[in-house]
Amino acid sequence: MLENKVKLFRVKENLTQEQLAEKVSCTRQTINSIEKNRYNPSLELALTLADVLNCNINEIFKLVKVKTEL
Amino acid sequence: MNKQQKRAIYTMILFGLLLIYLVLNFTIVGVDNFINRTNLLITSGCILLTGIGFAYMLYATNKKNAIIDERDDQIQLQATNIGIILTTMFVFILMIGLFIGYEEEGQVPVSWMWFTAYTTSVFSFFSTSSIIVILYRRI
Repeated sequence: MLENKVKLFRVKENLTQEQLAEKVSCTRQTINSIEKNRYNPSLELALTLADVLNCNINEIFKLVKVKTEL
Repeated sequence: MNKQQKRAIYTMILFGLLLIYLVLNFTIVGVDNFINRTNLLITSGCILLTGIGFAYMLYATNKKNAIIDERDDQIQLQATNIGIILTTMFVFILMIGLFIGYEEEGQVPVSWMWFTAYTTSVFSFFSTSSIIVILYRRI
């Protein structure tokens, strides 16, 4: 499972979802879905987000291991 | 709400209503009277109206500067895949039902062919657009 801090970094950069969406060439709804962990962006979009938010991709996105119980 | 979502909702409503009409019409009128000339004219008229409505909807919702991003593409792809499976299941269940229903008679009334043809097409539009609407809420 992937968790992200897109909202944290977006607020830090003083950007609205609309502004961030425009900078990374996607829709505001996609940014909203990413922030709510409902949608995992492609590698390209993830790298673009990291670039626009002036941080490393590993700072924004984190892989969380989920234990499956049988 | 983006262009794809709006189109999916309108398509779902249009083809959902047409599907309900076809099923109700076939149920009420019956197998024998379904291919009656008057009924076929009315039903064909409804299908034509739906087609015109669909075409107008596509024209009215066409925005040149609308952005379609990777999430929209993913939703469209998933919905298409699921829609194909659902339509295949629909046809399979319908055909098996007809086989079981008319096994002893040895032949199926021709009105079932007409019904199958149109409901399959309408169902595929309805199911795909419904799944798009659902996926936009979930993803």
